[in-house]
Order: sequence, then C-alpha cells, then structure tokens
Amino acid sequence: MLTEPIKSQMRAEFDPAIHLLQLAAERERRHGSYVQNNPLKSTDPTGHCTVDGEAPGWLWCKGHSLGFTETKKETAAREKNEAEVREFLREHPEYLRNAMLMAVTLGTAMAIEAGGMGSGADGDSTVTPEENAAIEAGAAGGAGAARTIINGVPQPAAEGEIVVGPNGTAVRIPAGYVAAPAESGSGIVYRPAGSTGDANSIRIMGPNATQPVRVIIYISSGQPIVPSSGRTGTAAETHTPLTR
Amino acid sequence: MYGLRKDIDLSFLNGRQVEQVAIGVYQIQFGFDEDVRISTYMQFDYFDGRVEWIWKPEPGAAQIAARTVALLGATIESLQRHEDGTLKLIFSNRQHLTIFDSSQEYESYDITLPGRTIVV
Repeated sequence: MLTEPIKSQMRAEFDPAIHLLQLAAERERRHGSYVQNNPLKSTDPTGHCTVDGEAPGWLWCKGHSLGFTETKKETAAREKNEAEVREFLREHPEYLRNAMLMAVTLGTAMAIEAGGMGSGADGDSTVTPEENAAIEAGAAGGAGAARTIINGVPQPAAEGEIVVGPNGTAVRIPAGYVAAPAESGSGIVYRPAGSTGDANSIRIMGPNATQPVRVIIYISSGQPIVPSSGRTGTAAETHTPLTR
Repeated sequence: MYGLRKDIDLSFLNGRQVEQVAIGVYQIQFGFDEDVRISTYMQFDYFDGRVEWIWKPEPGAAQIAARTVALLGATIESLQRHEDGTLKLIFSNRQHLTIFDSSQEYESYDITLPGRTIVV
C-alpha cells in the first residue's frame, strides 16, 4: 500500500501531467458513484439511481455504472478536463511527442497479441487515426530519434518518461526501467532493470475481442493497484484502458 | 484470458519448493525457490488430501487461501497443463493446486521467473 508521503511525492513527480491523470480518476469516481459510492452496503433493487440531482431511468443508471452515460455536471467536468488537457498539450508539446512511444508500444502490444511480434504488419494495420496523428506530431517535433529495440520491444528512455495514451490516460515509466514482451501474447512488461516478479512493474496488455489495450500498475508487494487511489482492487478497477 | 500455449516451457516448475504464500484481498501469490512466483487473481482449487477448496476473490476467501500454507516446504513433483490455461500442480505432500484461466476479460494468473513473465 502506498503511504501518503509516497503518493504526494508521486503527485509531485507527475505534476506536469496531473490534468491527464485526473481523467482516469474521474472515470474511477464515476464507476463508484452508482449506489451512492458504496456498492458493498447499498443495493439497487429497482435499478434506479440519483446522481448529481438527476434521476433518469434504470437503463441510464446501468449505463452510468459502466461509464457509458453521464450527468450534465459530469459532462461539464469532463469537457472542462478535456479542454485543459488540450491546452496543456498545446503548451507542452513534449508530452504529445511522448505519445509516439505510446503509439509504438501499442502497435507492438497488438502485434504480440496477434502472434506477429516483429512483423510490424499487424500493428500497423491497427493504428488509429489519433495514433497516426501522434506519430506525425512526434516526428514533427523532432522526437523521432530511433529507440533501442530489444526482443521486438521499444525501450523507454533511461531517464524515464511520461507517455500519454490516445484517450488521455498518462503512464509514467520511471527511470531505469526496461521493457520486455510478456509470454502468452499479453503485451509488454516494464520493470526495473534486473528485477523479477510483478513487483513495481507496469504491464500494458494487448487488446482482445472485447477489451481495449489496458495498463496495470503493480506495487512493491506485487499486487496491482487502482491508479486513482493507490489501493489494491478488483481486476476491473486495476485495469485502466489506454484506448477507447 | 490467454490460455496456455503448448510452446510455453513450464519445465522450470518441476522441483520448485514453496517458500511463501502471500494472501491479499484480490490476489494470492505462491513464492517458490529460484525466484519463481505464481500470482493468482481469479480462481484456484486446493486439494488438501481430503477436501477440495475453491478460492475466488470474494468475501471470506482469505480463510480458504490460508489453508494453502500447508504447501509451505512442499515441492512440485509433477504438473498437468492444458491449452485452455488450466494448470495443475501436484506437490510432494500429495496435495494439489489447480489454477484456472476462468476470465475472458482479465488475466487469471501469471508466472514470473528471472527474465520471463507468463500471463494467462
């Protein structure tokens, strides 16, 4: 479990990208807002709910619990956050350029998932227009320097870096981390060089028929955490989508 | 989620001794010698020689997980594997641990050893 001082330190380190992380936190908050943020004690026998003073039908409530629908207040907050992200990236193009690594990473993860690691063809065919834009932005910004490739996986910068997924979720790869493919066709593992086990690792899972590319962050005990709280959680809570 | 392909070598598990059982709310880890570790997230069956116990990450499951401390010190004598991701470990004390790939959406377990991460 992360202590408050460590979390504060992480916030400070994340500070330039804090707006991006707020997006993921907002999604987590909304997921828990169903049954008054207390799904263990509250029940919903009728399927109805009241959120931000709004009480639409059960279908809306179910959609809200899954993150598909939102209240007017939530819409306003999301649009405000997204505007802040766009403004932040406009002022700090270096973070947008880091999206290039993410695009390469996503392409590699997808290629590994498809069993075609190293071919590049599968990964190329699945890059979205947004990822293409990120690649072009990165190239235009001079971030196109060749990365070291080990076992078909692009390595993160030795000093660490923050990468931003196409949906705005930010992931910090700490200094001294290396990347390796996960066996069983499951994406890429970032870990401290020379380490073993899940402890302190970051794993980006390839997509499948029902799930997008997701990231999982493990703490020193080897347990995955919910990024917004630093606590352990269910699989649904600890897997953060990187693509829509 | 991913199953267990035939070409993934698991021979390193043979002879491994259980050195640690770490019980979490959502995950149970079995630590072995040689830096081998199995982390389970979805479901495993533990046969203690008389009764089969089923662990899932749900309330009350920690008590079931706690029974697996009887595996401490035991070594893996043999294993059975299936492409659907099921992995059965048979220990020197005649107890069994069967780990299932029971989720379509999330990884069910992973096995780590120096230089390798196998996600199922």
